[in-house]
Amino acid sequence: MRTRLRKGERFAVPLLKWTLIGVIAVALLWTTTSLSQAQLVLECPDLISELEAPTAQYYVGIGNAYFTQIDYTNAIAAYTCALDINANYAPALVRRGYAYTVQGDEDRALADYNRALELDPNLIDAYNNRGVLYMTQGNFGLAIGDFSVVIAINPEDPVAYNNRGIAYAAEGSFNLAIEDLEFALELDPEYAAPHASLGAAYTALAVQSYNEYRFISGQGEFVLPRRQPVDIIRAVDEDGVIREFEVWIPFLTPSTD
Amino acid sequence: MNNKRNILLTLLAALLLIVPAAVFAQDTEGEAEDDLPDCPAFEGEAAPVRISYYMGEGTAFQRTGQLGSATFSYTCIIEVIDPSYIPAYIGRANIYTRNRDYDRAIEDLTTIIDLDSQSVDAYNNRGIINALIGEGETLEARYADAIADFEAAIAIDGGYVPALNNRAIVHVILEEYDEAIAIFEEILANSNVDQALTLIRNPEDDTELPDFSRDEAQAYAMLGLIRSAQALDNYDDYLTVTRGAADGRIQSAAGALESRFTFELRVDDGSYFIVADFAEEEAEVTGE
Repeated sequence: MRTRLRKGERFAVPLLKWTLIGVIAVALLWTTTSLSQAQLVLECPDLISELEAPTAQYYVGIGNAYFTQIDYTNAIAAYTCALDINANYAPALVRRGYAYTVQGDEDRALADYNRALELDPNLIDAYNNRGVLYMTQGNFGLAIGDFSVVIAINPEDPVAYNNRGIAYAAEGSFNLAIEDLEFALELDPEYAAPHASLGAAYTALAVQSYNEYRFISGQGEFVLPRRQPVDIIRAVDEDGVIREFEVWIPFLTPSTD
Repeated sequence: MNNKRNILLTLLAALLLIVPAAVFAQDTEGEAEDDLPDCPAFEGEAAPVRISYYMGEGTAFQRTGQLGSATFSYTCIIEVIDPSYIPAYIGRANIYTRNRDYDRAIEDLTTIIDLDSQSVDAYNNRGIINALIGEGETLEARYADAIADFEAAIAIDGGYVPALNNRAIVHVILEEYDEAIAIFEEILANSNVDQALTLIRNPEDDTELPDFSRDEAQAYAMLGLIRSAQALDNYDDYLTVTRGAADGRIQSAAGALESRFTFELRVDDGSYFIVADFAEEEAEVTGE
């Protein structure tokens, strides 16, 4: 026997039915997506090739290939495979540390860099990337310290001069920054990053001078935006924050090879 | 002020355009004939360390479909680190073949043969490419290079199934059915396939199935294909001799079979060739 529904119920029942269907569909989609994401993480046997016996370096190569494709999860998995073979393989720790940095897992990144430096106190890539990590945390002094160690180990490393120059710029020491950046270019005129860094540093110096002018003449302060040199240039006439150190982060050169 | 700013912005825009272009130029520079590719990873370390790194990099790029990058990784080994490292040629030849860049694939496979004259896998895979690209007025001329490669592999290892299978397929293409049948029966006689078949047909027998490879089992499929070709020849003879007064059922069967040889049973498109994977051990098929 069919029960006659009131007008409100006639709408409410299909609505409830479709709501339930929707909830189930979303749950299924979520489960499927979670499962497929879980399946995407590769394990060491998945990475083996019949053409090459797996070594720590082999897995680092695998990791770097995934890293360049922005698949940091599998890059970390591959670096970990390298460390399964040789737990004391510092280059794998440095690379995994950088992948953690990119993922925003600063604690793990720092642990990997520190362990790499315990194993090899002369490992330039570890100092460089730890310096980059310190920069992202706003620890300019520690960053400058690490880049300076790289320079002490290899006084002709243009990347270290570029990065220290950026760190100086981030803390507002533009003259020191320009000195380092110009030296980086002297060492390697083909190295692109210091050209951009230098442009940004000179621009920041210009903004600093404009600010002094405006301060003395009683006007407000200039501010600089983040990102590219062009934004900094625009900010000479517009708004941005020169003291926001993140504006300098894109000019750093991490070790990835 | 505005003019100055515009000039500055234009210069910066030009800089931003130039920087990626310069980076791209660095990437492709390595492919120029006179320049070595730029392969900085583990520079200064021993060759085995660098080879292992670039083999890993190449493998991962290849598996994720980044074939250009994978080719570059293998090229780093071949052109910068160790020109005699065979696995790098194998990896690169596989990519060239997949990209249908057959000339380069043949070049790499030939180098493998130059470095290792006993490489049956290289002869076999080069034979497959020669079968696909062979030219000539007659079928015999078209498949001459392929036959030479398959027979070279068989001369090195008389029990090497991929080359035996592929040589037999060329016999099928040339309608040399008896020779093809002899080879496929030889493959079966030298394998455990028959024994496995007997056991599978007798479920009450608890004897463990012997190991056999999928490549060996393909011989049965190929024998079926040849007999279908022979059946089609017989049907065609019947239809020719009856000149339009043929039994409709046979006409229909012949038409269906003819269609099969255009699609599923086509042998001259390379789909039944067995490609060597250069692995030390073939995948085993068991009854489990």
